[in-house]
Amino acid sequence: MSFLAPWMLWGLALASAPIIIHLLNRRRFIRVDWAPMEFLKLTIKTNRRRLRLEQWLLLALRTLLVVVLFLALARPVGTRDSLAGFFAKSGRTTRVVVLDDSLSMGYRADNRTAFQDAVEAAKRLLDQIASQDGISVMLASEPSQPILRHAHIDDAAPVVATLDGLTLSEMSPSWANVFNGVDELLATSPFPLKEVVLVTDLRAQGWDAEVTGIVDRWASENVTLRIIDVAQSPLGNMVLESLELKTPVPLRDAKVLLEAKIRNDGEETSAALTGILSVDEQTSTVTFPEIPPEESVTVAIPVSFDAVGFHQIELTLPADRLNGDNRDLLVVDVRETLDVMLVDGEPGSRPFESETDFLAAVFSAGASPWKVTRLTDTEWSRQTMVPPDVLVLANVSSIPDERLKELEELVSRGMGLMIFAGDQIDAGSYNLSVYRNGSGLLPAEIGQIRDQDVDGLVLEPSAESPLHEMEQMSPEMFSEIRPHRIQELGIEPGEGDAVQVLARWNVQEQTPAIVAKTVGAGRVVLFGLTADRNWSDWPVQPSFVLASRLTVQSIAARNNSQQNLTAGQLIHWDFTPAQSVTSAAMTPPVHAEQNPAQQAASLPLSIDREDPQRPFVEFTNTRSAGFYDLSWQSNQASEIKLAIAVGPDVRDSRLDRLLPAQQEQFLGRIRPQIVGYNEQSLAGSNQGAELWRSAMFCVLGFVVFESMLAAWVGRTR
Amino acid sequence: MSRSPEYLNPDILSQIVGIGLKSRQLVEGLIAGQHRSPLQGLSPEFVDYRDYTPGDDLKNLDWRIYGRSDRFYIKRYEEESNLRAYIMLDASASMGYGGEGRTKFNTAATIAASLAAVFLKQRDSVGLTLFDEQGRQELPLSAVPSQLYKLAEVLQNAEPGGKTEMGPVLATLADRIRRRAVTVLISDFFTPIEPLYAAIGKLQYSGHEIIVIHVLHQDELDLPFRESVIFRDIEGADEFFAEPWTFQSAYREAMQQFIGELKERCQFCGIDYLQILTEDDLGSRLSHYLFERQKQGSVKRHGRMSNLGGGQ
Repeated sequence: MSFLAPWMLWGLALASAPIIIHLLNRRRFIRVDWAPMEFLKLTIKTNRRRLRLEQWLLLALRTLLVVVLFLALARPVGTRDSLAGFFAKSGRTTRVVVLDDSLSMGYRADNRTAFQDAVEAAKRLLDQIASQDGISVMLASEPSQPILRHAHIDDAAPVVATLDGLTLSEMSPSWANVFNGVDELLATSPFPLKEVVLVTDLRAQGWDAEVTGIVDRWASENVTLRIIDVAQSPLGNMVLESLELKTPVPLRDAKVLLEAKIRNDGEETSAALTGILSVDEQTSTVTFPEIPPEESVTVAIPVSFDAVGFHQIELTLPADRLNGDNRDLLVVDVRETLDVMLVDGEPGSRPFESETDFLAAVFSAGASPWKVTRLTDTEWSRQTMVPPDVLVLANVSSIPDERLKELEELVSRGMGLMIFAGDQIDAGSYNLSVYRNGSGLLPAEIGQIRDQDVDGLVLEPSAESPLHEMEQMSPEMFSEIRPHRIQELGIEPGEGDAVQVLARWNVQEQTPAIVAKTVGAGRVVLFGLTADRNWSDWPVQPSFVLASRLTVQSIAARNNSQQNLTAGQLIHWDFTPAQSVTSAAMTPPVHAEQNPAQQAASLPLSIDREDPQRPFVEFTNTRSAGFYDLSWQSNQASEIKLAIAVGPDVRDSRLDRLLPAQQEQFLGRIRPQIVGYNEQSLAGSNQGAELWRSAMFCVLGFVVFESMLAAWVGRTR
Repeated sequence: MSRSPEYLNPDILSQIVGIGLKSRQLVEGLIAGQHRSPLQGLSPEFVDYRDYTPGDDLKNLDWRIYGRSDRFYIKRYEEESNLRAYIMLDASASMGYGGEGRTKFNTAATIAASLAAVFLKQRDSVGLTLFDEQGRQELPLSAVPSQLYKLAEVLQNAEPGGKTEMGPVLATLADRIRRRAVTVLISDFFTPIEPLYAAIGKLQYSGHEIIVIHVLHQDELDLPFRESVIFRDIEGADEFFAEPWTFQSAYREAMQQFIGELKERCQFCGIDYLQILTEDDLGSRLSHYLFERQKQGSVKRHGRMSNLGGGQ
């Protein structure tokens, strides 16, 4: 038993009022000098027991009345099986029951997950709800697709069967989305009384300020918010926080590094774990070290691929209390070679006289399977270009309009573009057609060529920078880069996140030296220096080799973020006009097929209004982690399949509770009534199933009984 | 007398003096009066004849019988004497209950004075004893008219006080009265009842006629209080808190049982029982009683009170 308004319990002190009044009444008397005392004594002696019994009974009843009255005002909540009282309403009610099926609901204690408890609570709730009430049921992962919509439960069996078939998602909840979905249901409510029931583990993840606006409106509309708290006490958990590809461009038969990050959420140091790594369904084991409590470790996992194409990688940790965060998935695009095309704006006949000689040496050195193609700017502008992974324009005076349009298309689809400055560059042409006031490919406006002795290069620290790995090197290495001429690069202040300065010259003005820009799926890097030794000796320095190769590797890495998603994210896939797609379908992961909503479904082809030649498909229901197979038919070829990895959203594996202060913050003016759910019964938490109605009925009964008893006791006898 | 006696109410006296009160038993007075006496001779009331024996006074010889039957018979006459009336008035504290001027003692004193006036009007001797737990004050018997004023003065100066112990007081009186008399007991009878019954029995044994006048206040019959009351023993230090309405019926029943038993015992023993409330019209009640008594004549006596046993 607990109370929603415990301060009213101070009123219990008034339970002494009847006793005090009784005592005060004994002070209000008259004195009578009485003669027949013997008869009086005899009479009282004969009736003493009865009189005392009546007095005590009346006094006890009055005291009890006050006690029960203030208990009722303190809003007691029941402890067991009081759902009927908890959900009692005085009229026909529209109820929206939201089942939290987020990843954290998979936490297991006593061989039952919180989600199983939630389903049980929902089933019992259905038993308690009157048939004339309208009920809607939805999953938190699918607020736009309610399981029930304003239904009347005459026969609960089919609904119970549906609830039994529900599966857990691996998403992190977005309560704002959920509440928006609930809000739409409430807007079409057929009854004036409205009630929202959340069956959740009340974790802090997923709550934000957007919720407040919705529930504040509910408060003004007298919507009741009830929460059945199915949380189980966390007893430790291992989390696979991430599985990432660290090799920018995975190549066939080359060593590819994966990196797994594991966190120990327990209170004790974890034992060494052995995970299962599955690469294209070929499994191997990965051993992880002991992890101290509340700490994370990162483990590098080397793998290699003997075939070109997309490969499915899945890493799974041993089962623990929360299995949803024990795995992660990855789709890796393995290529045969890394194609680099060097366009030389100033070709020469002697060694290292051409603009791209040094670059060719850099990219061809060693046994790396890089494929370098060299063209003069004239050749490049004339012949049809086979799209490379990275295109390098070195001192190319200008870019023809036709070629520029093609470049923009290729870069937006993922090709990398490096541009080196030089004396031949027509700054005006570049700025006009390539920069286009920031809307073109060029990251910065090309300024004047300035003759200036510079004392080195300073890297801008950034994890997103292609030169990020060079930040660990000695600054002296960069101080040896001393050009006597530089290309001024101008960056407008409001360029946004797309433009990033990778390095600046070590001069007072800190002029940008290397600038990058993200354009669609590709990146463009502009160097304010030549690729030959005309302006500096940098091409013969080791840092040039490293910077060039890192930059190429970075911008050549195809952005396949569309293929590596987390649960709950939208799958969006663009097709090229050349693919001539006629139809597409999506097959969800195998283990999620228990959910009817996860059946394979054909996807309608959508057309982008701005680019009608580029159809795309979208798939929203990614509540389960796994590999989703996107397949499509085209005019040219038979069915083509593509795997899309959807990993669990491990943000929800943080089992932090939504604290009362946060409840007040996010739930605004609405005051939720919360009842705890424990095993098979509803156990009282600091809130719970309200019993004040029963208590008030008791008070009413006591008042009537007290009146009758008082009249009976007070009658003349 | 410097002031008019308070308890001599002319209205009451005018209603009862004319009726008078005759003893139902033989009384042994000193002077001739209205009451039958066990002594014969002086009264003109013929009783019967008896055989002449030598030594008899010849004036009582019925010569007419001798002339007709030649036998000597002596005529016997009933002596009529005056009455000796002892008024026993309870002056204990319990008699002080009642409103201003209407206490039980006031009522009892008025009754005593009125009856005394009746007796004296008949030339009867009247004595008064005020008692509580013992005889407090005594006015000796006297038949002179001034006795009434003496009696009234004694009553006037008396104040209720002390405990009630009627039994010993009456027993003492019974021992002291040698000649038959009428004893009028005026009290609320809130006293240990067994000694009282024993003492009344003793008085009966001595040949006295007893009249019991039970003076009560209406409150004592009804217990009419509607608020909480601390009852304090009017003759003692006991007190306790009570809500009278919770046992009012039981009290009334107990009180009626007490009164009923007293009345029943009195009737059984041939004792007049008269219950008078302080609110009653004394003139009416007393005249009614005297009239009924005169009309009723003698009453049958089944035994003495002390022989009944039991009691409350």
